[in-house]
Amino acid sequence: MKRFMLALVGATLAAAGITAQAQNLAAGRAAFDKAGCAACHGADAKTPILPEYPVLAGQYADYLMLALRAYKRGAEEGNHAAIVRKNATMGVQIAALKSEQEIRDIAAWLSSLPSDLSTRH
Amino acid sequence: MKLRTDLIRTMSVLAVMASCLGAGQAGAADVEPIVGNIDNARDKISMCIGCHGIKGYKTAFPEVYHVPMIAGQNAKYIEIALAEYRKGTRSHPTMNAVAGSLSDQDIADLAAYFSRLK
Repeated sequence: MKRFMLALVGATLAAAGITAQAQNLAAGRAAFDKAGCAACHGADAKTPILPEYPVLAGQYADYLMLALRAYKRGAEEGNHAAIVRKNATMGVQIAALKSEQEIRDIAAWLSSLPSDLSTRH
Repeated sequence: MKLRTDLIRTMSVLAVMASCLGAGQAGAADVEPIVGNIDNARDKISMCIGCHGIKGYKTAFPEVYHVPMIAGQNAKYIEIALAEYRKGTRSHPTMNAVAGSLSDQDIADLAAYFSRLK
């Protein structure tokens, strides 16, 4: 009986975890659309409207977060010792992302998408 | 007197115009679009694949994250990124050093190479 209860609790937690992750991905997709990212990067995040814009789908989530952080630093005044990217377009776009959680959700969703990105060489 | 002034003026204008012809030709010859060559890139990728070619590879302290996957990325974007690292518009110790050693042709070759790996 005890073993059964233990298994039941475990299964419930696992289900909750999966649901939570699905929720984050959905939130990421919503934030991606709301911030207007699809307009340049494509709704599937891998068919940008111009070849100058990167494919985002399937990229590592923590790298995407770093990139967004770097664009944000680039838009701010001040001398940053850390990694910075100065980009007129992204500097403006990043302003639409208000919270760290939004950035994390978008990055998680993007990395979950199918893509051709790889470490092939 | 008037005739000589006009003559000198006309001759100098013609001389300037003639010099423009020569300079124009030289200028036109320099503008050739750089096209990436995938075969030439094979000798240049060793600097890249040490980080970008290893699955799960991460950067060093203080900002630790996965080195981005570049195979299959848009060629034009790779070119822009490398040019920005070379120029300093993007700051990153390793990438600044790597890109600093690349010529425009190198950048075009590498971008063409990695973009085709799908």
